[in-house]
Order: sequence, then C-alpha cells, then structure tokens
Amino acid sequence: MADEPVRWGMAEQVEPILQSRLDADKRGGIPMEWVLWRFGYQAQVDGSRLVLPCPFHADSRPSFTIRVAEDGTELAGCWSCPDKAHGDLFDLIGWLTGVTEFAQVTAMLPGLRAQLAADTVWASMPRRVLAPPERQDPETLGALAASALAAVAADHSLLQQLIDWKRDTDKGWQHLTPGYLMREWRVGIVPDRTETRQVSNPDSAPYDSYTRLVRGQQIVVPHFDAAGLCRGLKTRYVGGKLYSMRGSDLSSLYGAWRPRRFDTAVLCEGESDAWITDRLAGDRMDVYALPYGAAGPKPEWLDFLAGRRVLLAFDGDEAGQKATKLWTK
Amino acid sequence: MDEVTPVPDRPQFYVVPVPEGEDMASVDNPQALLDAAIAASDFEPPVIPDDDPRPLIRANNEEIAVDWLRQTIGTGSLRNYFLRGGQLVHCVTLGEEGHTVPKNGHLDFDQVSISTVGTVLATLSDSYRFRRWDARKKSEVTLLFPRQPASDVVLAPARLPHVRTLRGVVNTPIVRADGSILTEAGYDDQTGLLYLPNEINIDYIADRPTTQDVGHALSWLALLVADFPFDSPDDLATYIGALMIPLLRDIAPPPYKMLAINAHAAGSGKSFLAEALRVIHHGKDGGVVRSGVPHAPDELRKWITSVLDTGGGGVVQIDNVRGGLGGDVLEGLLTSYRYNDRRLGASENVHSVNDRLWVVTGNNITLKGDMARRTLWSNINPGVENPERRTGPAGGKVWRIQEQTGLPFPAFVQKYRSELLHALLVLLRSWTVSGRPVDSSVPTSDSFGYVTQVVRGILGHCGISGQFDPPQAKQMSEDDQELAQLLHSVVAWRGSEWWSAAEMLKACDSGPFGQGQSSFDVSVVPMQKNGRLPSSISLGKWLGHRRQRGIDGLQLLEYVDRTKKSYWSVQAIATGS
Repeated sequence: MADEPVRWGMAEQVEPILQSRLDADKRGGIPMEWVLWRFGYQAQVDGSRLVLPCPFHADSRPSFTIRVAEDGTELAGCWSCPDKAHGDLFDLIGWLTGVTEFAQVTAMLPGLRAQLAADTVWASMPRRVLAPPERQDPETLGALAASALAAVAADHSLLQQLIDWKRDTDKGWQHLTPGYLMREWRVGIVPDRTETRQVSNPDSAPYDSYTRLVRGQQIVVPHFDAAGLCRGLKTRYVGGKLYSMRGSDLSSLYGAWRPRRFDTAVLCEGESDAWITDRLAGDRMDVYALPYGAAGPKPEWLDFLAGRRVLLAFDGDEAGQKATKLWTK
Repeated sequence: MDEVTPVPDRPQFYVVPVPEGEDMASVDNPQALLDAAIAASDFEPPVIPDDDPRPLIRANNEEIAVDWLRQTIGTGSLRNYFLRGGQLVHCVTLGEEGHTVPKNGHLDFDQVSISTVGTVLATLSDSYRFRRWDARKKSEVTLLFPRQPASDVVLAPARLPHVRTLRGVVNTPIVRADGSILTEAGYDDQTGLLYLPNEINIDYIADRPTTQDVGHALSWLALLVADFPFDSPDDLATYIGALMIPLLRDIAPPPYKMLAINAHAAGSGKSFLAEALRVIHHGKDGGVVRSGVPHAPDELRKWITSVLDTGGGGVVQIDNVRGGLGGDVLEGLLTSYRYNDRRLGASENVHSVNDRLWVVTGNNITLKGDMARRTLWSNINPGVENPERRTGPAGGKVWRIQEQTGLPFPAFVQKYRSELLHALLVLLRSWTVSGRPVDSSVPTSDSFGYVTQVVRGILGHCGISGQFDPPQAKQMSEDDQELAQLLHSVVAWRGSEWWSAAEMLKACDSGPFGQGQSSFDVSVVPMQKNGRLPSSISLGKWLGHRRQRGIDGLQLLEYVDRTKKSYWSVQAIATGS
C-alpha cells in the first residue's frame, strides 16, 4: 500500500500510513546511531544513552547524546548547543545536512531506509537497541524529597556550608539563607545512599553495570511539575556540581509547581539563578528556570508561559545568547 | 453550543541584559539588573509613523547586522547591487523591485557606480530603519547601520548569496544569442545584462518580419542618412553597420573596432552622425561624450578607466580629435575585451569589460602605429568649400529630414529614436530568422573578424549596397606612410641589393655646401627633431624597429654579418588580401 503511487482522493487514507511510517522511523526504524555513523560520527554507550563528541561544536568531552523517550522515540541533543538541545530523527538529519524544510527531510527518508537495508557493515556490528530510561515513580521521588526536607530541617549546616562557599565567588548567594531555600524551593539533604550506575562498554549487551556507594550527605534539589508531582531530583556536594538523579524526568520548568501570582515572570538558566532572582524580585514576578541549562523553548513551556510577560535572564555567555535568540525568535 | 477554547496569547519576551561572562548569581548588582528588566517589561515600543514605509530592522550587534546584510543585499530594496569584475556595484534598476524612477524622466549618467562603504550605508539608511536595545536607557534606540558589517560586504562581495553577476548595461533592446530580443526592462538572467530603457517605446517586432516590414525599416534608416554626403556606398554601409553593433553584443561579442567618422572640412556633419549613434542607443542624456582625446597616455588611460568603470551602455562618442590618433593605450583597449587598470586614488585594480563602440570624429584624422587595423572608416565629403554654410544637401535646397518631419536632424533623432531602433531590430530579426547568413570570406585571424562577418551578413541580407569595413578603406598610419615612401625610394635607389645605414646617409649627402646632387631622396629619411639627418646608429635602430614589416607590397629585410654590422634590403612581398 505504501509503495503505491499516491492519487488524488487518497490523501486521507494515505496520510495516517505515512505518519505511522514516520513515527516508526523515529522509534528506531532508522536508528540515529546509524545516521551519525553514516556521517562519520561514532557513538559510545553511556548508561541508558549513547554519547559522542558534538558534531556541531568543538567538543573535548562527549556532550551529544542519544536517548529514548517513553514512547520509544529516539531523541538527540547537545548540552552545549542551545539550538540543538533536543530533537528527533528529522531534526538530526536536518542538523547534519543543513536542510531546514521538514518536507525536504522526509523526502530523504526512502533513500536512507534503502541505504540502511543495504548496509552490511552496520548489520554485522553489535546491535545496541536503546531502551527508554527507567523513570522513577513520582511517589518514590516525592518521598525521597520529603525525607530530604525533613533532614535539612533538623540540621541545615550543609546548606549553610554551600551558601558560604558559593558567595565567595557569586555575590548573589549572599541573599540566600537555608530557611529560604527550604521554605520556598524545598531544598533538602540526603544522607549516604547506594546508587546503581551503568558504564560504557560498547561490546557488551546488556551493558555493564555496577553499584556504588554515594558517600556523605548531599544537597537535594527536587523538581516538581505543575501538578505538584515530584518528577526528578538533582543532587550536589558542597564544592561539586548539580547532577540529576537516575530516573529523573526534567521536562517541566523548574518552579512550575509554585503558585502563579503575577503576569510577569523571569526565566533563568539554572536553579541557583532562580533562587537569587526570586529572593530579589519574587514580590513582583514569578520566577522559573530551565531544567537543564540553556536551551530553546519547548511547546509545553510556551503554553505554560502563555499570555505573560517573560523576562529572559539567561547567562551572558554564548550558550545563553543562543538560547535567548531561540526564545525570542 | 460548542465550547470555544480561547487560544492563549504567546508570551511576550524581554531580555535581561546580563553582562558578558556573568549570570544572575554572579553579577555585581542583580537587583539593579532586575529593576532594569522590570522597567523594560513595561516598555511600550514607540509608535512608528504610518507614513514611514521603511522596514524596521533590529541590529543589536554587528554580527547580527552583517548576517542580515549578507542575506538581504541583492534582494528587495537592495536588489540593485550587482557583482561586476569581482566588485560590488550599484545600478539604476528600472523594472525591478528596488528601482527608483528618475524624477524628471531622465536617467543619470552614472548608471553603474562602484559601491563603497559610504554608499552602502547611505542606501541602507534610505531603505531601512535600524534599532538596537540600549541597556542603560532600558529601551530600543534608533541607530545608523554599523560601519563594519557594511565594510565586510563591500570587501568580500563574491560570497554574497543573492547578488547577481552583471555583464553590462544596455539602454536599448538587444538581440540575444538565441535570436530572441531582450525587451523586458531590468536584469536579464540569460545574458547577464541590465536593460535600462531610457525614454523608449519600441513597437511590436514580428517573429518573422515580412518583406514589407524590412522595407519599412530600411526607409527609416534611409531617411536618417539621407542628408549626409558619404564618400562612397562603403562609407554608408560602415556607418549603418556601426549602428547595429551595440545591438549585437550577445551574438558577436566585443571588442569592436573604433568607428572614425572622417571629413575633410569642418561643418560636414560628422558630429551629427556620431551624436545620432549615441542618442539612438542611449537617449539624449545617456552614453559618454567628450571632445578630443587626452594626448598624455596616463591621462588617456585614466579617462578610459573611469568610462568603463562607471558608465553604462555601449557607445562612447569622442568629437573633434586632432593630431595622430593611437598609442599603446588605445591600441590595447581596442583589441581587448577585458580592461584592467589601477583605480584612481586607490591601490586596487579595476577589472572592466570593454564592450563599448568607440566613435571618434575629426577632420582628416590620422592614425599612428597599429591603429589602422583597429578602425572602421566612414568618410563624408560635402564637396563644397564651406560645408557649414549649406542650407540643404547637394542637389537640393532643403534638408530631406526637415522637409519630411519639420525637424532639424538632432531633434529628429531624439523624437524618432524608438522608430529608428525598431527599424534596426526588425532588420536583425529578419536576418536571424533567415538563418543568420554571414560573410565567410572575411578572415577571422584577428579579434574583429567575426563581427565584420556578421555585420556584412546582415547588410547583405537586408540588401544594403556597399561593403562594411572594406579592406581598401584601411587608411595607412603616418608611420606606415613614412616607411612606404622610404621603401619605394630604396627600390629606386638600389633595387633589391643589400645596403647599410651608413651608405644610405652617404647617398643623402649633397656635398659640404649643398651644391651637389644627392643620389637618394633625402625627404623620405626620418629626420631628427632638430631637422638634421640622423646618425647611422639612429637610422639603424629606426630600421630595426620596422624589420620585416610588409607595406605596399614591399618588405624590409635585415642581414647581420660576423662583425655584427647590419645590412638591409627591400624585397617584394605578396599582399594579404
């Protein structure tokens, strides 16, 4: 049916078939890893995702990732390229070929399918089928966040250490207090815990994994969605960086759970920027942050901010400028 | 009743001007930054007056500005920028978006001008308004387009994606290489030419002109030249052929020979003929006209450069040349399609195309050096003592044009320019559909041969008697005349025997007091500036420069003996045509 020529009057029947074909392509019918491999880029396994040096900027450490969403769609993106932060198969082909028209990208698909079918080298390589990340149950995460909040209420010295350490370099931190972070942003502390991580070994399937002990107390920054469900956690040591906990789903704007009070909102690039901005201007505007650094807008974020005046307070670096350009486009 | 879900408004975004290298946590005074942002969020954009049609462009930094300019130049209001000879040029572009209609109906002389940073900035200010965000004022402010992006575009025009390549400018329809006629104003992708019709309204030209159409066209041309006493039918044919040359640039590409309209006395009407050629192809305000040729080679070179660099169109009219016409600069120009020279006032080369028909007028024009081969001759001879006192043509009391149109000749050409052009195009179209016959007997050993073949073919097809650029019309240059006289005298003196320069000078000697009879005609020997005979060494060098040159069926040969002494002989040689 799909190979029959499309005639006038058949569009209604053909369109769903074409759509399902496109969806199938996005869900691994044309693996992103193969597309990148065809363009000369070799991906490595890292946990539940594939990583490689970003093809679109000078990259010393792999920052371009391929992962699988819950619906099986492969997603690709680079942490350092705001305009290529997340995209599907068609976006990836567009980025690699420079083609911007969706119709032109889909026109390439039959050729790519044929090349993939004829690629004997690829067929002989170890098959690495990515699975969607295992999402932590919101209730489990919520319980963890609640216990972390209870822990910091008992002893907030770790949070105070973090503030003391940061305010030497970032002056805005002088406006923050442990009580404010706990009360307004539900920042908590977790004690020692064990963590299972998967490590890269492209020749093994399933991938190697090991269990490690995360030693010492960590500060926990919970991410709730607009409905108030805890979708993810980020943790950090004093002196370290924020890392998202395995199984986190950071698809909502940080701060989305907080009550909407004003028609003006500030959108910052990270959690700590949001804390400081809220401390200084929270009486005049609502404050949110991008959940994983500088990136362009997602449709659901635009819907969330619809009808409001939004001040974009991204970092004054190249990534921040690119993100600003994408948001104001 | 169905419930209607309102479509949410898109958020309005305002940018907090976070300093470079900072973020909200590290910035010195985040409170001030936020206050600025809050003020900005309440900022109402100024109301743009409706009567200002210029689009508003936001150029917050130079990078954005240069990206925008690269993508915009060559399109829209900036469509009249072209690439010519590796340089960005600006043209009047009639018939296209971005053109400006001349207010008084006349085209400016400089139809093509080299773009500079200043001119690009001026054009941008004229076509667009620019704004940028001012962090201190917390508002958008107007600005002039930044200079560096304009400079980037002017200095590297070859990479501009939308700028088209310009081959030349024409003010009349021309016949394309495929025989079709370019009649639509504006840039023609097929030929790379920019057609800027100047006060012209060409009537319909039939795809296959009938005999009647051709006859009608010929009658217009006959009327044009009716009052001019051409020396011979060949002179008339050469002039008519020259009228067609600018229309043939896509069929018979340049370079073209220079047309010399020559008369023996002032007031013969040669300037009228040259003016007619220019006006027909450019309109009364177009083309290039000047009086006389600069004699200093550097001045001549500079003038030619400026003409090719800035002017448009196909005819350059030079009136009343005096003295010998020639020299390296002119000779090089007429045989070369490309013309390179240093731009005036700058350390850079001009790469121009010599696609012009150069027309000179003068009384008894004399040529120097190798100009004879590069010149078309059209002689007129009223055959009266004071031609300027004539009140009508020979054998008539009233000028024919005056009689038929009531207009003097210049006004006739201006008024009936469209009809005259139409006549020329009909003849060219007729020639095209008849299979483009050419006169293949014309040798094509030089760069002008094919043009002569084509023009003769057209004239022959149209039944115009006389020969375009006949070989016998090649006027001998002063230098050639001098050499020919010398060679004939040598034949009379020594026949084909060998002789030395010293022997020739000795033969010129008429004794210490001039009382004797010299055996060689002294008057043909090239004298020094002081009027004396040259030394044997100087004469030997003079002869050496003319070694083996064939002239009037004779040729000067040199033999150098073992003592390096030169001997000369004049031998007969076959003529080329």
